[in-house]
Amino acid sequence: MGLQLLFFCFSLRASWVSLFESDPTQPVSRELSEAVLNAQSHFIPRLGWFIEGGAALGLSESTVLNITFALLLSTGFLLVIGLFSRSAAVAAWFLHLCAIKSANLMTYGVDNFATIGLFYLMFAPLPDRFALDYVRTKTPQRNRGMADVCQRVLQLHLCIVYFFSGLTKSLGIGWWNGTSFWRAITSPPYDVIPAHTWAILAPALPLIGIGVLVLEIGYPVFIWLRRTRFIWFLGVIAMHVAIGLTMGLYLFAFVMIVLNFAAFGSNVFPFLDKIRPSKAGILQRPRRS
Amino acid sequence: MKQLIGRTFLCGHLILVLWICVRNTALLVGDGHTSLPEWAHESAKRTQSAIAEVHARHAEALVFLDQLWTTYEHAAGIDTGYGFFAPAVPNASKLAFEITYADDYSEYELPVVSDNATGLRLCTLLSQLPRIHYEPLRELVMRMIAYSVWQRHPTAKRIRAVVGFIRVPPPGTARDIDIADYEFQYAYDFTFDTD
Repeated sequence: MGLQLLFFCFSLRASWVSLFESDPTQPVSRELSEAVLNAQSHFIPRLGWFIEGGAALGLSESTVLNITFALLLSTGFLLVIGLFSRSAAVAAWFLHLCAIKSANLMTYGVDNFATIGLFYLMFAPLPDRFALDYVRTKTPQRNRGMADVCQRVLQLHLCIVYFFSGLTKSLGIGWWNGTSFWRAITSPPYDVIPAHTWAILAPALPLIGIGVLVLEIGYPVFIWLRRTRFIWFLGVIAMHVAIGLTMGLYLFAFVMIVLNFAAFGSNVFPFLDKIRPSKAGILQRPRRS
Repeated sequence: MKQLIGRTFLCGHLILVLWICVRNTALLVGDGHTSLPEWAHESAKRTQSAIAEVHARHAEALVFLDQLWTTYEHAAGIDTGYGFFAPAVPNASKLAFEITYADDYSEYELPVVSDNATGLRLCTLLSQLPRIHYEPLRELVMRMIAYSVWQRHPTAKRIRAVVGFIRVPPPGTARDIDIADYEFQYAYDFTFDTD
């Protein structure tokens, strides 16, 4: 999730201030997004709170926004290396939430899934065995039971996500005859690969569309069965890699892969659960007894 | 005890996720976007109305609780369902501006963004605009976008925001046609006062 945050910051590094400051030359202002947010609830976190606080201290809007960006970037970095894991997880969740809610008219799936990941990360027992916090203090993970519960909740959440994603797609004719799949890969801004290149796939479009439905609706069943788990996991990961590469939704693809690995990675690849850092901090495979 | 509270909380959380997904699926069916038979649309509409009625009846008394509930949904990232590209992938929207000056000279412009990530987000907004049922809000969003254009052309007499959708060629003809078709949807005319 730390990497996801770093990529998020990297993708918006050039437009961060212009996206959130009260600049009339920008297409959609933060104020409008936050006004829409107010209509839903006054308590939803937003960058406006920081800007108001900064103004009370005499800080300009752009200064506050730059500080917020630096903080978000720092929390992402701390999460990657696993230093001050708990505080970094809470701060990362809050700052990321403020940012995406202040641009809520322009958010899409990736923002929701990043929030979901960061939300669960706050409750997950930290530090994990790869974190610098663990290497530094050598304190074992205190609440293994809670870690299992968190993983189970994430697993069930992903099952709900894929099932409803597949179910709602299956209610329209487009995914059955392949036209929705065709539109998804050829409509701007997702047309990374030109339509005429895809045309060779035309006869297979209905099959690919139905394949997506089977993969998503079948996820809550086949990811639990020992015999089908690996193939389903691989199928879903391949689907997200394809979404990232062919539609240019790199961040979305990455966060979905991260969530899938966090939820089912240790079930699909049990050896991952046994790898521990050595004294030098280098990963070691378990020895056979 | 701590673990029991944690488990109960997470169970409640999952039930909430499930409820939001069911609610959004019902909304999708009720709006008539699916290929389901008419009776299914009608049933979904009736269910929606019943929920809205119950909600409205207690809205004033539960306004604080309602706001807390909504805040939690947003904070956990579960405020929307997961019907991405469902039940069908909509046509991509396109926004263009016609800028008319006092001498009736017109020029055309597209929205300006600083990078790909912002461009993708603006496309998301454009695709969501038709789903904003509250017309004044939709007009306000359009006005703000047009205002940002007017900032670059302060002498313009009128800014016309034209929204259309791009019709991609069907798979069979994509080999021959490389340029997508553009179809007009709606337009707004805005005038801004320099004072």
